[in-house]
Amino acid sequence: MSCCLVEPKAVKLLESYRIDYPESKLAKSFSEAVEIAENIGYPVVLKIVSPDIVHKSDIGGVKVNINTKEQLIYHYNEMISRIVKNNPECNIEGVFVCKQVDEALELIIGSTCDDIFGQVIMFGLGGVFTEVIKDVTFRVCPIDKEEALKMVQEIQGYEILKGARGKQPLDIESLCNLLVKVSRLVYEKDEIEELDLNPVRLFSDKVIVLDARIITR
Amino acid sequence: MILNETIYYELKNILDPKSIAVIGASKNKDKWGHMVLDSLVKGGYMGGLFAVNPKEKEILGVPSYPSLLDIPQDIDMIDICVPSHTIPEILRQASEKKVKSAVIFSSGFRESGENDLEQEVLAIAKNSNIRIIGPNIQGINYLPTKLTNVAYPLTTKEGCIGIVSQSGSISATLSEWGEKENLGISGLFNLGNQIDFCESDFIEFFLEDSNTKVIALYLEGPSNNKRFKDTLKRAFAKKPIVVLKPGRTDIGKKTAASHTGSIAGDDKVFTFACRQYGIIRKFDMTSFYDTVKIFTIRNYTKGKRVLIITTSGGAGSLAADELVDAGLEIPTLSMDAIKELKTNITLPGVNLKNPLDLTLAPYEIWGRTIEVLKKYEDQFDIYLFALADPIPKIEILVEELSESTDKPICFCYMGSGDCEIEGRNYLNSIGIPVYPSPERAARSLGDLVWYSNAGGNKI
Repeated sequence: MSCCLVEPKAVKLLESYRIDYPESKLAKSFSEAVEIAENIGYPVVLKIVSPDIVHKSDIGGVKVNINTKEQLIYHYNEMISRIVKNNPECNIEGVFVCKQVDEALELIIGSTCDDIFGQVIMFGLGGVFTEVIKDVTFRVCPIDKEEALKMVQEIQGYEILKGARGKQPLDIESLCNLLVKVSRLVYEKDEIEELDLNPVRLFSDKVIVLDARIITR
Repeated sequence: MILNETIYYELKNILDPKSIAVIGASKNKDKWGHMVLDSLVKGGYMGGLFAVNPKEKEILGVPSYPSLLDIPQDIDMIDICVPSHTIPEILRQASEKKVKSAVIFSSGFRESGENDLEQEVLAIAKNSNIRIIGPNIQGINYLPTKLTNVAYPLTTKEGCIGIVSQSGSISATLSEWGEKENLGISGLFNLGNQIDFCESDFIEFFLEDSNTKVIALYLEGPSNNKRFKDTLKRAFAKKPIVVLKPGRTDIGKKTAASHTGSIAGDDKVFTFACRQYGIIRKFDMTSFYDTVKIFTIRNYTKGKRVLIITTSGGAGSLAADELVDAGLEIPTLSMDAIKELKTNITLPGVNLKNPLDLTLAPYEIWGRTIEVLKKYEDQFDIYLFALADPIPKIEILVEELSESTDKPICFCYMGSGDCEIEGRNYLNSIGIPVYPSPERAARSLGDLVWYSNAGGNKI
């Protein structure tokens, strides 16, 4: 039977492959949440943690732009009580408190297990680009850096990554490294049925995974 | 790898039978038992040929016996064209007769819900060391041994294309197109239910077979996913594989699934995996055939610069557009080259650039032009002749050129007059592929160069 890893566990797995994720920690109470937020610094993002909730934002389980302790306490309590009320069957483990990351170009990296080729990695521009123009590419895992670069170069949005219209070029080097790491991760952990890193933000000097959904067999 | 060599030698043996018996041979022209025997007779099979039909003494000049056991000689291969429920008994007789392989044409197995019968047939074969091709197929063809073991169409032109197909009609069409243009095939395997040999076995065979230069694969979905993946990965370094696979739309995928019961994974993933492995994936018959054809070309190249020599501004322009779209280049010739061409070509209306338009230049000027171009071969990587008009005997000049250059030569003859068909048929048979339109030649060249740069080792 398939099961969805809660995000703190998914992040632990990513970190074991040296994949960057914003500083974060699981809070089981509002006082813990406050302590974590004070440690990592505002603004923070709150995400509900439950093995029964696959799509957090669909049920209002993500809150961004939390800048103060007061906002944190308010939203923590509001989120927990609302979700418990609306989804009484869900087992809630707590709230994931994450350092908020600046806006940047959003990408999507995913994996599926194909009948013929086994673990396959997918990459594309995120958000509207993925949905509307389906600008994505696939490779059989694992891949090396050269193959990763080919993936990046073959999406239609490659010009944007290179820094179109005088904008600063983005960190394609780190992006390729990330693709290689993700491909190794899903190849080595073949119990992973589906992985979804969405969004991934690409800056001129780094790449950061903002959300990880991993479904295992 | 030992495993692959074993498969190769085993199949090579099977494909060179010293004697064949067609079980269910018939005088009735509508029966497969007639078509198969007729193909073997007309194809010139040299071994012992026997028919099995209790009602006849002779069919198509071949002696007929009441049963396999009545044949007074050893039999290596049997062709089975009788109803499926009688096949277990035939295999028992074949076992007694020490038959080595059986090509089962008959349907009426798994595809009709007769799973138990299929398993029974397989079990008997395994116990008797009889290798099975099929069942539920239109046949196999291996021309180096004149084993034209097909329920039509009979094709006998020997070439270097190896076909593996999940559809009898697709493989038949491809081999007929090749025959008509004098391109020819090395062999053809239809897959059917693949209860014993599967698609990867046949692909591995062609990868090792020295008569085969390119593999044409029609596939709806592999029968053994893991082996197929491994085979594709390995193929890349040996020979080009061009695969035609339906199922890029939901309805196409469902139609394929109901045809062969194949589950083929995600179609987009298939496309990208092919690209990653250096396999050329196609979506339609025409470009499937065209691309298979380009890999029969004498020399491959990584170089992208194409010199177009044409009789028509129209053909030259169309070729140029399509070549550029395919990622190739149309280099400008040096001043020296143009100057030397000018002194040799004193005709009005010629355009001494690239495309080099000779309009209606006579044969001698074509000869002199080619001589000049040979001196400047460092300026381009591929010759593309795009002829909208017949130049009688041009094939002689082009063949001479091919003997003194290592550049690939591709040809387009747009017309279909006798002289053009003659030229086409000759050039196709000597590793200079001929296309009916410049864009089809150009796209195919794009695939050739792509494959060579993807890492194919035949460069």
